[in-house]
Amino acid sequence: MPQFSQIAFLIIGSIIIISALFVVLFKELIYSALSMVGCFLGVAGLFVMLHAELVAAAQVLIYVGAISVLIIFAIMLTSHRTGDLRLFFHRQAWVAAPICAVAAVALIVVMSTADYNATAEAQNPGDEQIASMLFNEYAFPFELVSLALLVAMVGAVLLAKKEENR
Amino acid sequence: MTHDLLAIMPELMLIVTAVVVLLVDPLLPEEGRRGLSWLGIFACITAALSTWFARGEEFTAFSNSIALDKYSVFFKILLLGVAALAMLISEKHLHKKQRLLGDYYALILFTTVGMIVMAEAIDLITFFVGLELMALSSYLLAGFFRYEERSIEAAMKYFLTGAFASNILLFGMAFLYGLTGSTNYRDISEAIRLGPVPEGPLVIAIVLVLAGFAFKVSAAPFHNWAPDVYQGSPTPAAAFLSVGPKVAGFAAILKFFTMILGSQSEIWVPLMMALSVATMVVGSTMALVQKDLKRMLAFSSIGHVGYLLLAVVATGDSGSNVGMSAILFYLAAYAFMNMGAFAVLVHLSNNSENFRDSLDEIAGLGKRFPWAAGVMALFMLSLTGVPPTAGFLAKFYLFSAVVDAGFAWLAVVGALFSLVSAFFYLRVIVYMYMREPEESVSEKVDGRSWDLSLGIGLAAAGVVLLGILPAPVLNAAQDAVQKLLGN
Repeated sequence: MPQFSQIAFLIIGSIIIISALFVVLFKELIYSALSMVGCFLGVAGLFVMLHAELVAAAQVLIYVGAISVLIIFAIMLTSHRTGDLRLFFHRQAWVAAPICAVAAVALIVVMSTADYNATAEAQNPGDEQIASMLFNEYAFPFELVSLALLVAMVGAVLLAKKEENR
Repeated sequence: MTHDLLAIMPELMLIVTAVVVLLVDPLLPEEGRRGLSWLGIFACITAALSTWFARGEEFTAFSNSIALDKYSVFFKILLLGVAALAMLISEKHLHKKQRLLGDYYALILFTTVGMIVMAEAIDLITFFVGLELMALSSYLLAGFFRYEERSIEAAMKYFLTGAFASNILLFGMAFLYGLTGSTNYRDISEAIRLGPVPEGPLVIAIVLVLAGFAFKVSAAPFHNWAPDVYQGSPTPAAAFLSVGPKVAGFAAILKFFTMILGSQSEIWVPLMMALSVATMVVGSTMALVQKDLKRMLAFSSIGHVGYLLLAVVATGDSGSNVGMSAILFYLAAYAFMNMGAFAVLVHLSNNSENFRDSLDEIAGLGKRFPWAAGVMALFMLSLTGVPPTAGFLAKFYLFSAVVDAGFAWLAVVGALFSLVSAFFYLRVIVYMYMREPEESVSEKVDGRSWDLSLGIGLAAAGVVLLGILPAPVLNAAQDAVQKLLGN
């Protein structure tokens, strides 16, 4: 009799894999974007199963909420062509597919046969602990991320701003 | 707390200057922006000076996120120098292409902050954030001439492959964390050494991390983005991108593979060896057939990455410091000669009506631009490794470290490929001095700029000085690798 968590994991896992496949296989960009929402939701489900509720909430808020909406808006507001892109990548697929297949099989075999008894027990920090880690232990990278966001913003303006006399 | 802030003083200087540049830029008239490069250069120089005067104090800061040791001092000063040189050679070119914006200098400063963090990090998360900061800004530098199709293409290719590579690296780092339960270099290394750690996933982690790094420093077979990116980027940005990220990448590779994975060298040494030989083969042979000088320099830089990886192999088996200090010296020499060669291309592009960076266009350069041709010849000789230039000593130390570590055959392979590379470096000199210029050669225009000349002069001086008086830099390199903090 399989446990509830195993069934849930199978369902969530297949949602992630199938929607991730749809993201790459759909020709219409908007379908890809919507499948990505499904993929993000599945990942949020995984986090819930791992009892990382804070991360799951962040995943839903940021990825499902903000980023997906932004992507969908971007698709709607820009003119897009379909079809050509798939042809463009076609030539490489024949080489890439077998290599990826081999890599995937190797990963699965190694990961499923390895003995994890000796590895460190995973700790599951609570929300308060995460907050204190962000502002103490990881204060430096945390602040540095804001710099990366600033660069992204400068870059967006730099690449997309309409300029006169050009 | 104040200790922590003192530790990141150079980064803070660069960040503040970058933000000031961004804020001031829109208020300035076109001509006023020409001074912005000097603001950036000034920031780099003060940051380097503050690093130099604080070199005696060695400590870790931000609860073991970064290590302030001689190793990071060496890389900080080198990277700051590269950034200052890049800003020095850019101004006139941006002006000519009507893209003189402060954003460019701010992006160079942000890239430099990212690179410095990569070099001094002793924590996986800090390292990765530094890497991403560097990567994001460098994609933008590649696409800075957004009205030129090639520049946008370069940025797009760099972004897609770079993001992919970052993810592979991150995947490998996630494995390391999962296996050891820590993000700190020292703790991971302890956990792996004391073990037991499951062998299979550890191998996967090593392979993924190695592949990610190989992408970042453009080692074959993960090199294909480099020629397109350097060709399409604005030439001064290409000069910076072909040196900075590689120096920072090797700073991180050395820390990763000697500190974290030092006890696992029997796993990664064969992989690294294969990578190094493949990189040398691709770099030297593909450069032979390039007609575009920027692509030729790109493949040449791939070849140099091959030699450097060879020395990483040498550090692995014996754990010797000699290999590491040889790498540090090589990186310093490489920075001068590669930036110099690109800077000469910038000079030619500024002084010609329509310069396309092709080999045919530099035919007869010795007559038309005697000075530029002269220093270009110097940089080519140094890249080949002819005495008494920096390139010769760098290769000499590197190959002798490889021989000392017991890989004589690898050193022979390396020397053979550097012999092959002599062909395409010397071909440039032959074209410049022994070919008549083509009739279609583009009109000469007056694009003199004294700061570009100063930049080229500094690079040339560096190449010559490192070639005849290597002792100070070599000693600094040897000091730097004596003791890595957090090890």
